[in-house]
Parts: sequence; structure tokens; C-alpha cells
Amino acid sequence: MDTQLKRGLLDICVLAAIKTEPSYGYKIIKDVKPYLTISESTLYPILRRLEDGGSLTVQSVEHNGRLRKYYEITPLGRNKLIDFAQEWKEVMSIYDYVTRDQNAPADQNVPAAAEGSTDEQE
Amino acid sequence: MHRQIKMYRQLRKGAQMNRNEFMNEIRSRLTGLPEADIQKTLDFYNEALEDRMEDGLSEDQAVEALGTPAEIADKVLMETPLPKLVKAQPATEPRRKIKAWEIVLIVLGAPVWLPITIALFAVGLSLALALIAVVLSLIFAVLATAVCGVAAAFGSLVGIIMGEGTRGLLEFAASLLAVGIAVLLFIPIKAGALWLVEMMGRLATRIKMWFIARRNRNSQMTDNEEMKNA
Repeated sequence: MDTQLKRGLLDICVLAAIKTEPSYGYKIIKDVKPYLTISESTLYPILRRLEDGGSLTVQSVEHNGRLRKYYEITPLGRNKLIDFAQEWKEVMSIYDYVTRDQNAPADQNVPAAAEGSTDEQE
Repeated sequence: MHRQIKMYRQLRKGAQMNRNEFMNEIRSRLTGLPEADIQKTLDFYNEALEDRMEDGLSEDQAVEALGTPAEIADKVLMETPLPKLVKAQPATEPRRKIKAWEIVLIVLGAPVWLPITIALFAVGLSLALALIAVVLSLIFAVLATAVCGVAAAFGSLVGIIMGEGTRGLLEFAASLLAVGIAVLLFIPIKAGALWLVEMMGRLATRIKMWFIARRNRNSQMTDNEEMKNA
């Protein structure tokens, strides 16, 4: 995948992983892994960037006698997810257009214009 | 103490690292950054190790799963803003003693290398500034055309009402033309401005990569020298 694209998607996936409840580093990695390759060394800069940008907040919670950092999404982070969904709706419609099977029976919403133009040429 | 760690690291190169060595190596590769940043990084990786070990991995397996300290440190450095990175630089500079004849050469050569260095920097800077100036002036030209067009359109309308006839109509047409041109030009100008922003971002990334590569080279050199001295 294009690196620039992947970078943006990783930010979104991390936000999605903490969308329903605060989560910690290792769990975020396990949750995101099925979709994108991610490791601690990738996650750490992303978490810092999102924290600096105000998309998430960090709380230290005690766990098994040590501190574990939990990351919680902020309204700003939620807005980013909403924007992403909006933007990709458009991308998905382009995807449908690009991958449409040409041999498949013609769709109702397309051919009207194409037929019209051939008629004119004849 | 620090030196011993480095030596140990050299001896065990390629061998499996334990947890302390792993943390120490990350710390030494981040030397120069603010202590709070370093501590935050180490805390994060400590937590990652603990969580993996809780998940059933052995210490060695957990360390290996996190990747190499070099990778980890480089990614942290890449995310560090450029000014901070530059400030963090001198700490890793090799503390090699400059020999007397080298000082003499540097001082005597100053009339030659000093102006050349300054000139090169100045040329680079002025090229970058010129590019920014061109894009900015294009943006303002388009904006000005649009504003003038709108103003002139109203002006000529008033003229037509006042009875200027053909001249008023001609002015009105010209002003609409100006607005049209401005609207058309807006798209390429916007693309140009975005391109400029992206290019500056890439340039910053390049400079950062160069800095990090130099850091790593320098710290390797100090390691080797300390090995020799030991």
C-alpha cells in the first residue's frame, strides 16, 4: 500500500480501536493487526502525535502492581472518524465504478447516455 | 558505566539482548533529547514488554517481538520536530581532540571555505524563498483580480444606470471577464500552493533523515574508539 495512505489509515485505525472504550498499547496493536501491519515502534509515534493534536488523552491506571497507560478518545478524535467515514464514502463509490465488471449485464443507471450517443452517430 | 554498556553491546552484537540491554540501548540512541521524552519512550516500551510477558511470552521473546532498538529510536527521532532534533545533536558529536595542524588549516583556510559555505547557504535559502514568493504573489494576483472584477462589475452597473451606455457595457463585460479568469485560475493556484506545502514537508523529512543518519554514524564512531581505548 502507498506509504502516505497507510500513514493516514493507521491514525484512523488507532482512533477506531479506542472508539468504544479506553484501551492500552498492546491491546490496540492486537485489535488493529488484522487490518494493517502495526508494531510498537509504529504505534508509539502515532499515539504521541494524536495526543499532541488533542485527539486522545492518556490516563495511567494500576494493573497487576504496575502502571498501564490507557488512551481515551476525545470529541476531536471522534470528529476525525466521522470525517474519515464521509470522505471514504466518496472513495467507495469511485471504487465501485472502477471495479465494475464490464461483461456484467448493463446497469440501469449508466447506459442511457451511451446508447444515446451511438444513436446520434448513426 | 555507560561505556561498559556500550562495550558489552559491541561484544554481543547479533546475540539476543535482555531487557535491560534493550532499554539501555534505546536510551543511548536517544541521547540529547529532553529527559521527559526519553522517559516517556522507555515507559511505553516497558509497558509493552510487561503486557507481552503477561500474555505468555518469555522475556527474550517479548524483547524480540518489539523490534530492534535502532528501529525504535529512529522512528522516535523522525517524529521529533526538526529544531528539537538539531538541539539534540551536539551530545552525540564525537569528542575527538582536534589536532594542532588541523586548527591551523581551518583558520588559514577560513578566507576560502567561509565565504563558500555562506554563499551556498544563501543560494539555497534564496531559492526556497523565491519559490515561496512566486506562489504567494500568484495567489495574491488571482485574489486581486477577483476583487477588482467584482468591484468593477458593480461600478460599471452604476455607470450603465447613470447612462454611460456602450462604455458602461464594455466595462461590465471586462469586469466579468476578470472574475471569470480569477475563478478559473483558482484551481491551478490551489494545487500549486498544496504542492509547495508538501515539498516543504518532504524537505524537512529529508533533513531529519540526514540528521538521524549522522547521529547514528557518530555514536558508532565513539563506540569503536572506546573499544580501541579499552
